[in-house]
Amino acid sequence: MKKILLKTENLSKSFSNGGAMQHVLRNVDLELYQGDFTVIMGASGAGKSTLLYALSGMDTPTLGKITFGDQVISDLNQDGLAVFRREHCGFVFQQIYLIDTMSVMDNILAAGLLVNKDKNALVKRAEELFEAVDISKEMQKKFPTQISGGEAQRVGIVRALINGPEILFADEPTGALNSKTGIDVLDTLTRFNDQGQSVVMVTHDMRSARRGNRILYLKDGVILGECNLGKYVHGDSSRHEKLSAFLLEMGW
Amino acid sequence: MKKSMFLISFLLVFVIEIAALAYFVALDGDYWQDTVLVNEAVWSVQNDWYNMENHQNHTNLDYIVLDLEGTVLFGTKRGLSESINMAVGHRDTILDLVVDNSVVGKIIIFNDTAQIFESQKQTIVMILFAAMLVQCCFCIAYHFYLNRTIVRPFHKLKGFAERIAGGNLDIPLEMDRQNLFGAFTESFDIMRSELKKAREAEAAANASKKELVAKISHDIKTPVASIKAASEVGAALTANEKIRDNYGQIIRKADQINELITNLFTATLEELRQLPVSPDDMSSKELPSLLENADYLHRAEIPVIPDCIFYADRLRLQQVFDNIFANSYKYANTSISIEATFVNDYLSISIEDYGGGVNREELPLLKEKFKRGINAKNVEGAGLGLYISDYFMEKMNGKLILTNEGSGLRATVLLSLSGRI
Repeated sequence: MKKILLKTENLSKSFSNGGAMQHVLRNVDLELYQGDFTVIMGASGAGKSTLLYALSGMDTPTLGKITFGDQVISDLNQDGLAVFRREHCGFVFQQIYLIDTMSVMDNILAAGLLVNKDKNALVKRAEELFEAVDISKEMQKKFPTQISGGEAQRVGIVRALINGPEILFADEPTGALNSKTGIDVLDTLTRFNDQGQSVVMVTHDMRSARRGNRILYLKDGVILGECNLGKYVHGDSSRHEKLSAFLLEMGW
Repeated sequence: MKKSMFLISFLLVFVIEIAALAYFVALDGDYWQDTVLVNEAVWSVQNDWYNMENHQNHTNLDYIVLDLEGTVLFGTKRGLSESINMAVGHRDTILDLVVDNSVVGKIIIFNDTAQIFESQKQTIVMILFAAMLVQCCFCIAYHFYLNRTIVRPFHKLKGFAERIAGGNLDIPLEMDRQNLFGAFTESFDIMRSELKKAREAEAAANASKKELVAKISHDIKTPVASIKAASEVGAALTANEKIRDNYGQIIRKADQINELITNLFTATLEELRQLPVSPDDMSSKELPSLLENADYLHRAEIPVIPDCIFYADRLRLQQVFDNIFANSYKYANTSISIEATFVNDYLSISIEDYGGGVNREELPLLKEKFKRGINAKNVEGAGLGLYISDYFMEKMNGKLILTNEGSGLRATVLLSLSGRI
């Protein structure tokens, strides 16, 4: 039995649209488990990003409850949410948002020093992570404008992991990359997941989704179904077929 | 009376403010010293010049007496300008002291206009501040008053209009005749009762028509049954194949007439099914106000509704609750308890009274049309409320369940959670 990391009960998010209420998430009951690579799929407007933002404490739900361990994060105020995100979550977005006036290494340390005051330990961890994502010493001294998009996204992953988050949230991490560099980034995420890092990724790209071991399909703000790819080997065609069959059934 | 008092005091405070401000604007910063007093002071000092130790100040002015070297010979109090330079800086009045036709010293008369001005300014600021505070209190009080007398009745009126639009004419509009809007809202309630009367008259006319149809259909059914019976006897007695065929034809046609008459009778009842229900996603936050609207006698305490989104038509759901509460008022007339919980994929709202419930044999029939319990003889009603409510709940993917609990009847409204069913 896997340990539950995050749990939602009747999670709902509504937006007022010219007086009419639009319910983007409707009674979502979800459990996210430790060590999983959970992928949230769905068409545009299905509520994928809204769900990710609610799960990661970037937004508060309109109704319902989200619990992380024994902490109810849906009850936290903005300051409490900021602390929750800083200490327990890592984020990788489509846009990387590195600070242009700081070197790659300093970008990582800036994020790390928010939580950990021991700079030597931070530098050591950063170097380990850089090695894991194949970013050389020379590149660490460069500035964000001097590196490629794929490299920048790998730096983004290092930044997301510098504080050892329980969950890594990724919102279309390969959306702005070409297919070759996209695969590098996905390989990196898969590798970290193999080492035990829990990952939650939103995507509408099937090739990205294949990396997950648990695929959730969201439609009209409801989880329509889920598919377990855990027992299929990465890169094997049966994994792809299983996912295709699932998506076909979901009406992808 | 109260209102005019309020307005007058409000205006009074305003006038005080304006007056204080006007006074402040008109205030002259230029204060002249009283020449007579100044002269008196000069005279008294000149007279006492050779005996300054025993000099007494007979005026209410403050002054300093200096000799020609600038030594202070006399001062009415400490802290006054003690040299010519200081006096010039402070705009004090400086005069020569002349004794025996020669100047022997100077008198410096203290200029206190700045102090006077400062103290007046403070007084006016205090008055203005107090007046504004009072005005502020008035404004707040007025805000609450307006909210109570105008905004709240309007909100009530809105819910009332919605209910009328939904065809529920039984629930009266709460009103306060003392209120500014009392008369206004009363006319709305008159409209409701007139509409109700018209509706009842129409229903009565319809009912009598239905009765007629029912009576006629019953009347027709009897001779048709006789025709059928006679034909069956005839068919059994005859040996002729052709005649038996004819009898068979008569029997089939008689059955057909029977069926048509039954259809005719039920068709009038099926008109009820024309009520449109258009459910959509609703937030659980909207439920308390629906329950409050329905419980217009405030017999129940609205519980905390667990967070969720469910599938319902607001107007029809209001009618279902209205119906349940109205029934409880009519038959049980006790306090009511409400509970809200999740049951599988439903949000369950159970509404229970303490009126002893209904007969066990009658329980399954409550939701049938035109069926009423034996205790309903003296209570007006058509036996349609729960039938229609059940139909509404069915259309909203929900359920209406009636059960006898220990103390009374429990109506459980199951609302289906969006995205689950």
